[in-house]
Amino acid sequence: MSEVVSESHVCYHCGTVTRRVVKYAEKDFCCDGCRSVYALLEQNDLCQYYDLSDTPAGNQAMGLGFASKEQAHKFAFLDNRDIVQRLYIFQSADECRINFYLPQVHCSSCVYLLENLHKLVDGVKAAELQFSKKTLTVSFDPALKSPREIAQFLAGIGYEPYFSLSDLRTDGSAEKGRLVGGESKQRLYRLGVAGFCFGNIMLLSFPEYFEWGSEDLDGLKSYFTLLNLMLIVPVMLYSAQEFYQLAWGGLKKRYLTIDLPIVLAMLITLGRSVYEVANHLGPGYFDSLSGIVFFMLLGRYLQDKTYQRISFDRDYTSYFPLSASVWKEGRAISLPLTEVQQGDELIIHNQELIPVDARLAYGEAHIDYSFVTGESKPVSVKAGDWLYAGGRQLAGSIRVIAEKSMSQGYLVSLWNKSKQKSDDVKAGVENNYVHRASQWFTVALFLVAISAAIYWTVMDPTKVWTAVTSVLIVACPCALLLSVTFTHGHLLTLLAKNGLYVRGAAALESWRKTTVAIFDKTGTLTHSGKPKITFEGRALDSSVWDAIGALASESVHPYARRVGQWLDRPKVPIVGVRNFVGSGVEGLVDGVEYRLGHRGFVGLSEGYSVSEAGSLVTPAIEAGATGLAQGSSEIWVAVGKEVVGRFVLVSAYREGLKPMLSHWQLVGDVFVLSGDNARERGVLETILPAGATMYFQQKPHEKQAFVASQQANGNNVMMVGDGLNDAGALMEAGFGIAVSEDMGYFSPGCDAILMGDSLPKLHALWRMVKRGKRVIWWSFAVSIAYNVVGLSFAVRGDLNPMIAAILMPVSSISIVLYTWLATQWGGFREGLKG
Amino acid sequence: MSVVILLMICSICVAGGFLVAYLWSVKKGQFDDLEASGFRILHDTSPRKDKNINNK
Repeated sequence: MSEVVSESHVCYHCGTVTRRVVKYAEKDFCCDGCRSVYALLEQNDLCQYYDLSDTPAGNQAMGLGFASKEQAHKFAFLDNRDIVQRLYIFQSADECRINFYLPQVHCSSCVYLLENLHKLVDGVKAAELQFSKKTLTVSFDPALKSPREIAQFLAGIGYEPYFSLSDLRTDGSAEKGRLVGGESKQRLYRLGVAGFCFGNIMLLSFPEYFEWGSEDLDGLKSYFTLLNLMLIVPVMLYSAQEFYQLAWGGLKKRYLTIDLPIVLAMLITLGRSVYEVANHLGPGYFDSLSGIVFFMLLGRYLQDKTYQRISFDRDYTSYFPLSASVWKEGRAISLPLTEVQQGDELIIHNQELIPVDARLAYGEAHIDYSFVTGESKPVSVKAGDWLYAGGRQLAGSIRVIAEKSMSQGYLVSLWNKSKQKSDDVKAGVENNYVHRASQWFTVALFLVAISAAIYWTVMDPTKVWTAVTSVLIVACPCALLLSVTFTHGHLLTLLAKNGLYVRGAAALESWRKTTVAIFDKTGTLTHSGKPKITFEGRALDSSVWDAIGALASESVHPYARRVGQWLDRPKVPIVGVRNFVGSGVEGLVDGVEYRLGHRGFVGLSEGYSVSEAGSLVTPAIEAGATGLAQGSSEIWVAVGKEVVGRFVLVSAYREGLKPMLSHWQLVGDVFVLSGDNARERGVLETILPAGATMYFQQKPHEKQAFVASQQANGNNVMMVGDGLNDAGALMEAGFGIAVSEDMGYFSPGCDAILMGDSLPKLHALWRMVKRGKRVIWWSFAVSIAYNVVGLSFAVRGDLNPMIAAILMPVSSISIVLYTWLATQWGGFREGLKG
Repeated sequence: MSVVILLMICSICVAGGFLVAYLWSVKKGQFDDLEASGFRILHDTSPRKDKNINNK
């Protein structure tokens, strides 16, 4: 654009590289917000924040600043007693505790700063951060500080708390998150008990394995066996409970799960062991039994490892604000959203979500419905027209009259409709091939047992009982379960490391079978966060660029600020800055008036004539149409009274999509469904492989219907979309992937969440899942080999506990090792992070 | 011989102690958040805390 005016500086606080510098304490800052946070930390001797990691604030610093006007009303609902009561997790006269969800938490410095909150804010007693859940628990004295003040302070230092309707507890019971935590703790208890018993039983069985000592050791052995018998009780009664429950649940649904033969084998092993001990025939198989339970629990723990920072089961309530400002009796009060009634007059501020279907009373409404329709271009609404819940107001405050209560809104009905369906579908598909394999295995096992029984009935009837029980003990299908659970566990970990977070192992199977891939455009193939900025207009002097950059940085509008960042000019003094919400910003530099904003704001009417200076403005614009692709926006620039050009912000396509998409074309049909109009067809054609089909102007329910029609044709659909507006289609699809830039936010009822940067790796990740199935088959083969060895002893009726004791851990450990090595190797071959 | 029995009981008691310690630590929430503790150890002055305020 023009020559470098001054060298670049790195902001000490947030790491932004900029040529506009605020100097303070011999350090460079990019803005006053960053500087004031630094000053505050310095006063309180908390500068270790900056030692723990470089430029710790990262990109969270956008929009920093204490008690800005917008934030002042943002947390007004925290003054409402009724709302706050339901947010508290503990309450007494001199101490209250409240959880704040802080999506910006990301590094060790965050932990340090937030846990020192009591040094920064009077009245805060302690703060503890749950890093993986990004939740800060603050205990404070309600007489000294209100929750609103704490929330505003957190927002001021760059950690803006996020509240949603789902935070409100409707009754006195523990919150949802607690319950989930309780379940995983339960499993850890069981695992611990099983491990303890397994280890001790092994130790006590050593004399048996090695036939140590002389005859007088026999007395000792019987004590040891007795101890073993005592140790197996907690394993069978406590640790193994999960298997009984699953097997019984399967039986009730007339579904042969893999747990049923396992429980059967466990009970037979226990029965035979107790019989042997009682009749002094031998030491029993307690070591194998407890080992099996331990390894199977370990495998399940690994497989079901949850990603705590992602909550998959959020519903629409996570997207709505906690409260609404209602105009009643001449003043604004905060009401919980659930109590908003038809006919209430609501105040919607700039950038707020419309919580209920309503009609516009007065004010200038520009509504961004991208949540609901995927169409990112704002819609202008006239007074008296409908506004739908889920839209975001972009231009100043408006007053609306609620027409429906929240639960009757369009968005909620869309959500409920799709959820009902998907719950039905998804209950049916669970690890099909694993269950088939286990059924075959069970049948084969019974055949071997029966043949052994028949053989021994003829040859030596005394050995029938021994041979049959031995067969059932040795050939426990636990090896199958182990290979499946461990492989899935390793796979999920590997996928998560590469930016794909899958809801659970059961979903992998439906992904593996994908035959049709459907992609959404906006926010999925395009990058919503980083628009491509271009300037169309006449050439300008360097000093003019400086002034435009300074003005853009002073704007409250995020697009204009982005232009400011993109221009990245050294800071020049600017006076008389005035923001006109929804229109633009103006200011004076060296006595010249600069304006940035809408075409109307800079003095262009709809049928304007291009000033001779703006001759570079393209004819397409002159034609009067907006001349812009869907999902892009323009910011006009006026210097003095003269319009010099405009900035165009276009959402850019992600890189590396082409090879990924052509790989999918080899798998099956590829479709792109876009909520926008067909303007970008040409660009898309260069990215998509030949044969891919595009559909434009698809409404959410049309996308969902399209997915449904593809599935009705017998295809297995993978739907890749973003956010709430594709929620229906994501749920309908066999495997729905939500693409997200930030793990903290949009994660509706999908099967997996993919980080936007990892989209080019999508096909490699899928190939990895296919490899996973091969790994499972190979470990089946390995476990069958072990089984054949074990069975060859068992059918002869001379299964020595020693052989069982060696075979069991060796086969388990070798399968665990094999699955790990094979998945790592597969990840390496596919070029994934291991 | 009886000394072996005594030793055995001792060893199981010791192991049981570890089991109890493990169960206690799970209950106290030490396994809830494995990441933050790793960061906390880097801090010079550990923040004042009323023990584990999440679980009181």
